[in-house]
Amino acid sequence: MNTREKFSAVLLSLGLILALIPLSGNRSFTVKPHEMLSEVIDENSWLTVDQVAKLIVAEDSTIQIIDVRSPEEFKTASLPGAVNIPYNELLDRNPSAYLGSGKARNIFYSNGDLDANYALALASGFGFDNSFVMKGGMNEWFNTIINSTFNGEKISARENALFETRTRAKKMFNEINSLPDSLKMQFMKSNKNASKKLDGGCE
Amino acid sequence: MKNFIKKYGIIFTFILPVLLLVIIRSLGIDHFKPDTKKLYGPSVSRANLKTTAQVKSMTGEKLIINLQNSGSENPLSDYKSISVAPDSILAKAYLKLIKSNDGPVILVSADASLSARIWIILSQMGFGNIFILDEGNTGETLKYKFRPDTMAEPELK
Repeated sequence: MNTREKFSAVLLSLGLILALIPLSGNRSFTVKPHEMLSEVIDENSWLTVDQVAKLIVAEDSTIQIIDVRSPEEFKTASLPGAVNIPYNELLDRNPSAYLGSGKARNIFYSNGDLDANYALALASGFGFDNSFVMKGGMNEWFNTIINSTFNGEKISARENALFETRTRAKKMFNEINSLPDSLKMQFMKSNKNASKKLDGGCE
Repeated sequence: MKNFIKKYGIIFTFILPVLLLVIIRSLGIDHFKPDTKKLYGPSVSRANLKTTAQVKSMTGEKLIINLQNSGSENPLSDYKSISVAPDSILAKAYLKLIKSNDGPVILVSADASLSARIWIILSQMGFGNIFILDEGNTGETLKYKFRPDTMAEPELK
């Protein structure tokens, strides 16, 4: 086998390897399937609407709420402080840009139980294990928080605290979503700036 | 033989082991495939959701995977069914069963959120025949209408 033949054989083999390696321009998951499975079936990754309402009312700056519904639905009514990344555009952007934004927890929500959970699984596949889902989505939010009423005669301290949180979350939700779009954005921006200042961040 | 090995030594030493590893990796079933965006497509178009009637009209041997949780019922018990605990869905035996099934594999669960998460994992592993049984009650349509309060004046910080 002369040098030319050897060189051809090497090139041919390399070509075969390249043909078999999927050289797709798109990214793929970075974690192993078994690791991902244990993360996505972790019961703690489901948050109730009451847990989310409590975080919103406390204006917790360590959370990022991600609304994966369409921009139209987001504009009509969305959770206070939420950012909109529609599910169908989720992989058009680099997940690190919005999931690794420095917030400790990402909370996904949609209208129901599908899109937000798909989004959580995708985030988990890219190695962002700090992801959560608001169980039941906006339908459960409306059902539990917005339509929250108390009809009983006596109320325990615990029930009172829960009802108070729901009322405050409902007030924040109604106030923000009743604003015209331009003011809504201004209000959200102003809230973000304020929380940065409280955190000691620099502008 | 000796002469043959000497002649093709460079190929045996470097190229063949790499080629072998690449082939093993390509044919393996227990890892994620590339191109996440393409594989998540059916969840965007909702093509991965099937009603009982749609499942019945699908061709090929149907495999129903009942994810054991919340006492979910299986409305497709006429077909080949297996009950699998969510944490063992990636066991080799189940993956082989899914791969060898010549037809649709339907995930059934009382909790749609669990099926959705498992669907992403399996579809990203390259299983293109996975569907979620959904009778249209997973609630991705907003049932409530928000009524703006025009008197609302939030306090700006």
